[in-house]
Amino acid sequence: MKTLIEASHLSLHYGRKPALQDLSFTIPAGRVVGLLGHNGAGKTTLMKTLVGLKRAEGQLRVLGLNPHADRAQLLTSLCYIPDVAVLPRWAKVSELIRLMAGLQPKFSAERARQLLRRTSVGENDKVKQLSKGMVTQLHLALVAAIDAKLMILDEPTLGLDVMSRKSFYEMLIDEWCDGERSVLISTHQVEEVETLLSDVLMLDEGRLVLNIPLAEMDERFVALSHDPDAAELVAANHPLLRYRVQGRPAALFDGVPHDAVAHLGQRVRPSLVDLFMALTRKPERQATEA
Amino acid sequence: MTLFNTLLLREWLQYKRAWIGLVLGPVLVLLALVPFSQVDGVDVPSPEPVALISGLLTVGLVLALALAVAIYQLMGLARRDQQDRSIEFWSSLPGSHAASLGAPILAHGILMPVVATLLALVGGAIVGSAMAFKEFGFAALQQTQWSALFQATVWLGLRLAVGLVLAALWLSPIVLALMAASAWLKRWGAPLLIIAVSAFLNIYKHEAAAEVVRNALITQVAGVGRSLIQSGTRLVLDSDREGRLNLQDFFDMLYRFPDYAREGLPQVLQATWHPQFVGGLVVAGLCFWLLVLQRRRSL
Repeated sequence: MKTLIEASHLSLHYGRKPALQDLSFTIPAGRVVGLLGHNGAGKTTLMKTLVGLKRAEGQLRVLGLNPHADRAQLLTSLCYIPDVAVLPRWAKVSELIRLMAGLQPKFSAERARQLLRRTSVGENDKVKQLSKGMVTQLHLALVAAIDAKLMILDEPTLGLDVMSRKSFYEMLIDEWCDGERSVLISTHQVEEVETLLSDVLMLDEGRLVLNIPLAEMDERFVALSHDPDAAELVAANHPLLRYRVQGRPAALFDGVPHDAVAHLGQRVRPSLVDLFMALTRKPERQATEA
Repeated sequence: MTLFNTLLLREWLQYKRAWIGLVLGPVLVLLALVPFSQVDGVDVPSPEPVALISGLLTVGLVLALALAVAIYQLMGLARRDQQDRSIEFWSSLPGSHAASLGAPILAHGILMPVVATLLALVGGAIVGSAMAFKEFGFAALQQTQWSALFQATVWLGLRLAVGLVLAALWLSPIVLALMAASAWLKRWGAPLLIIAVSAFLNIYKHEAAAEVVRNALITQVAGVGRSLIQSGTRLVLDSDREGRLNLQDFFDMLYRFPDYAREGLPQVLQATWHPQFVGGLVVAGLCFWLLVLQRRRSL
């Protein structure tokens, strides 16, 4: 399968503070990859590096190009919605379509109009008259009308209500993902995107703490719902996380725990949120809370 | 080129109302004032001078407004996309930072003033004709020497267009330095640079370095003036002691103005062979690089 992104030992510092630390990963074609991490984990820095707005140490090829050196060429072949992207408020929707057609060689104005018909945004509307949800829909319609192989979305639904978020992801999956194209989405709304994702990358303080297809998550991570009496024994086996499932204590393990522990409870499916908490929460804080 | 043209189109879409108003506003106001206006202080026995004076007044007003608006817009241009928070959107599209900055500078600094001035000439012709009609009636208009007025207007337009481009190039190191200061030091950047240079010139006024800076600034500003009005002085005519305009002198000027403009063009172009003009462009290039650098850093 064709690889769209190849990163090897990527590192980037802001002054003395490390923002990305030795990241290595690949993203093949036809995947929907979630990039998860707390605020300040390095998600936006990584995405900006992928589109050539930041220069990192290490090797990076996106669509076969060096993003920083070939940024202009790269941006003709991928779609990108930055985290604080604000569409120009003075513009009419029709004017944005006209500008996109001139700036982005693979943009189809007809396709953008077709996508906009799915929304309540009209061509004569001005951006400043639209709600935040409508602006996000408009932005997605504009970038989804680019005939690209890769879409990078940095917190695209931040600040939107649940209806707008649902509509956004529906349009993304229905209208853009075709099994050949890949999407990399960073978000905090882990529960909402879990069903859309095929893979997950998890960042913690600039380090890649998880890079796994969701299909393999159940095989690798085991969650055990157990009686309160067994809590001490379970804790002694160093679970990644201790939490509660439907009121009962539970523990999450990396790998299958040995039989003595496995028999203490009932195996349940670990959610992405639990895994996110387990891998990105500070161990010292976890110890205190436990 | 499509990309750069689209960036120019963006400026038009964003500022078209202001730019149209900039030209139409003065023309419509002056047209509205025609019924209440009269030529005062000079006895003008022919419609041509009235038409020319009214037309030039219109062009002068639009040109002054266009230059003021251009300078104002250019000062804010360095941080415009950061301030309206659209920079991330524009940076997510193909195109270099240099093109993203170069297109608006070209649009506001050169294209808008030139096009506004050329349109003002058309507006000036309308205001001038209306004024001549008001002063002398329809019969006099039929006897007006339109051909001479038309030729003078065309040459004035050409001369002003070339002059504005050259004036913009002479002024570019100063304007781009102020823009770069504004980009790096935000809203206080341009005032701080002006204060710093003024203080330097005053404190070290007897030092050679201050003298060099002062002379450089004087030469740049003189270049702006020369580019714009070298042939324009030929349009100045005095009236006699009774306040009567000498028609012989006027028509002499009117018919010879195309020659004056034709002769003036090589002179102002030749003035750009001055080493300081080239040096100014190098400084402007350096300031432009600082603008690009700051735009790249802000992402």
